[in-house]
Amino acid sequence: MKTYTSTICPVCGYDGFDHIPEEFDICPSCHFEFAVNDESWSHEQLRQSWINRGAEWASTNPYHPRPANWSAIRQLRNIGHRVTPSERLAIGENEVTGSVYVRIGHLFDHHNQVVASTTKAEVNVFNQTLPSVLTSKNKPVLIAYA
Amino acid sequence: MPVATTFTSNYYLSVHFGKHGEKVGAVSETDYEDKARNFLNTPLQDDPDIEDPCRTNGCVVRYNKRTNEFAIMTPTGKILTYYTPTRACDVDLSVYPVDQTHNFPTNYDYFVHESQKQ
Repeated sequence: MKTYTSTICPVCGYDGFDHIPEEFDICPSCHFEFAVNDESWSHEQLRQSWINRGAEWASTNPYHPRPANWSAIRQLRNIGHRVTPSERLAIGENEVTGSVYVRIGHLFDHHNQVVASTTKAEVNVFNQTLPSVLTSKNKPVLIAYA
Repeated sequence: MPVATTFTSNYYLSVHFGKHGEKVGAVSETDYEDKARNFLNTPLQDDPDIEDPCRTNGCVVRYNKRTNEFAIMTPTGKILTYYTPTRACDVDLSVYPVDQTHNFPTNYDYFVHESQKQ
């Protein structure tokens, strides 16, 4: 029978177990059943199946609600898996790396009057290449990583 | 032969119901546990299609080749799991979860493998 040495799910990277999983433990994130599913499949095959189906939080039971701000892409890094662009499409998640702080300056109305001002915001970056400077109304907007 | 009682904990009942409940037609955790208990406690003489060898650690692995029900309980009667195994070749793995399948030639082969685990 397979045994494990880590509290991290080898399929999806979930790291919320409070014990080292053993036979019949089920990962709430991907539904991998320890020492059962990996009798037939490799961890890579199980991971790919989960990702191809969208890498959604699997558990519906009250013991394991989907954590706030949970990200499959971020979680997969726990096992060193970096998603490919096609996997990112399958997952449908635009989260990239950590927090990005953007100074977006002022919002103007039609009369060019300032109606709002923001000095810090958390944003999602939708592509791999993050520009160092974005513009808004022809004004430079500074971006700096936290 | 131990008498099946309950899952090892409400937590394990909940997670196994979440993964296997729908496939065995259970509508609630209670229903799922009842079905598992009834299956494990069915007298062998009442159903010739049931087999239940013991693992070397004393766990009982039970399978019904007619209904395809599969369950395991500890030597003290605690239920560990209950489901209906599915061959990977019988489903479309592009949409069906691989973790709900096995790749043994038959479900009976899968049962034999599970019963012989050390």
